Amino acid sequence: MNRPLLQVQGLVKTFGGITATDDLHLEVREGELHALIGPNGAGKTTLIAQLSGMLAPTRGRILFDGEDVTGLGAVERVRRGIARSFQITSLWPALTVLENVIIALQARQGHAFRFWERAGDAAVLRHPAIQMLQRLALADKAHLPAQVLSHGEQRQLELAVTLATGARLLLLDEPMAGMSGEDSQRMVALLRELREHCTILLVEHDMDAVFALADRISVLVYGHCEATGTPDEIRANPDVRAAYLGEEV
Amino acid sequence: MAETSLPLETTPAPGAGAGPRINGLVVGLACLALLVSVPFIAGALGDAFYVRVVTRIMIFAIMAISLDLVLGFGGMVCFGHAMFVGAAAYVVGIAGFHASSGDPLVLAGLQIPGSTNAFVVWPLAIATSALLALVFGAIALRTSGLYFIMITLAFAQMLYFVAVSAQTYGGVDGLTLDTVPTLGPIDTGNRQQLYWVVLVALVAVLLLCRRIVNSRFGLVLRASRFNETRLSAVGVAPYRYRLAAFVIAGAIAGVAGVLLASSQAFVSPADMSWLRSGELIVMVVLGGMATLYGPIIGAFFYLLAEFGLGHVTEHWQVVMGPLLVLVVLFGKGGLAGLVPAAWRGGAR
Repeated sequence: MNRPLLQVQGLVKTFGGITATDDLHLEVREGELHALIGPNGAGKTTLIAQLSGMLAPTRGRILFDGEDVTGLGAVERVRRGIARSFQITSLWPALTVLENVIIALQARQGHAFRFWERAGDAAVLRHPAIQMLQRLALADKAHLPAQVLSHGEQRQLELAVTLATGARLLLLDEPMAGMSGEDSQRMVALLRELREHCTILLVEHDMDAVFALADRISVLVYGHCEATGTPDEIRANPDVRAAYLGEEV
Repeated sequence: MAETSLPLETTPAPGAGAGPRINGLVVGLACLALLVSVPFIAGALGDAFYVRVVTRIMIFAIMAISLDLVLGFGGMVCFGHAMFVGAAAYVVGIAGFHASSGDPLVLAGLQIPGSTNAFVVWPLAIATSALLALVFGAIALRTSGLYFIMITLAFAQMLYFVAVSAQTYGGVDGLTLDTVPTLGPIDTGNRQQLYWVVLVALVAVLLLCRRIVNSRFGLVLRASRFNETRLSAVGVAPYRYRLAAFVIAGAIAGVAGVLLASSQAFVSPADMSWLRSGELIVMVVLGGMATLYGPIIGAFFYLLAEFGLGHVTEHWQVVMGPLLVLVVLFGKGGLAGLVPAAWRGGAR
């Protein structure tokens, strides 16, 4: 068994009287694709926000690679190697597709206090950016503003930007949300390929994709981790069937 | 990986190709030729007034470009930008004041002699503006939105009242420069010579800012305007980049300030009033934000309208006001948006 890359211990997040994350324990092992499923409102996106450092938990600890990162902000966590994508596409709409990727790449290469050379002309940025776009079948759109892309293409660019950070742990919040069948299939193929290089925590509603891709699955119900196991174990778990899968599978 | 086998040069999008760039260059050069010809036309007409007018407009264009860097590209609505202009202008004025009176300026026990050497005074003045931008920006950039607007306004007003209360330097009446700085062999008090200095400064500032907005730094700055959350999600904290942009803009406004001091041979608190800051915002919005050449168009349009309509009625802003509303409502990109797309070679 691989060592754990991400450990979540007793995580609690309350908003006033509402408990969004309730004593959550979770472990993502290095190299696995760990899927997170659960009904709407189970607190999946809230958890992603806490793991990525955009939301401070009320209680509990988050360990990355053995180190406590609970107190670190989003920027510092990306530098450590945790990057997220957004359920609701979050890009720079007026910038070109290429520039969107370049921003993430140049962040990875250190500071951007370089005032003279055109960012789009720098080979160290341009080449990896184009390669990234080719992987996501967006290379021929490189010079278009991100806002003119179709929904599916924007979802792919969203992933491209997240990948370009070079993070070891990807927190993907419904990468296939609203995608057409063809686009989803491409995304599944891509995630399968990505699994070889990084560790992935995948939040997804597409059960076919989840059961096809995941090494392990955790089921979130009311902010609490109800069960964790292999796809077969989860399918067989009576509690999970009752709480969630009953109506969908 | 076999990088060389990949088609790394993708086809440029329409509007970004070589054709429009060349058209943009042609239009830019035509405008430059027009500006170069102004002193000769004015000479032929025997009316130096036009040289003065265009000099002043070009100085305002530098201010507007500087504001566009923070407002247009960085999304920081600075409502006190004239303070950086005024601060530099006052440094020139005060240095000139002590040079002509012969008494040194006593500051914190140091005796600083006055000077009218532009090689000394101008860098000092520009550095003062940059330093001011650094200090004020470091504080103001901790806020955003409406608070940022109010805090920049507050800083500018603070400086304005310092100038008003500085009785030695004329207080509210301002300070007349007996002698304006000389730049080596160039006398900046000479209308013709100053015109060329200002034109060179305008072109240099425009080219410099074009490099900056397309650089890695500029990319982060533009990105911070659109989506700060995404920026932090890829590991970039925008604060330092915004502050750097603020300091660069402050320094460029300082350049405009020293030129303004020479062109007016006078500095007054009005040069850093909130009205002036507001006019600069109008020029940028009117001309077209985040375009760099838009603010130049805006400065020309606004000030020519002031000169032109000002002859007809002193209430010329009655015309300018609705015009601004129309431009904002219908010409989304400002006046620059009316320029045919094929001509545009500007920042992208």
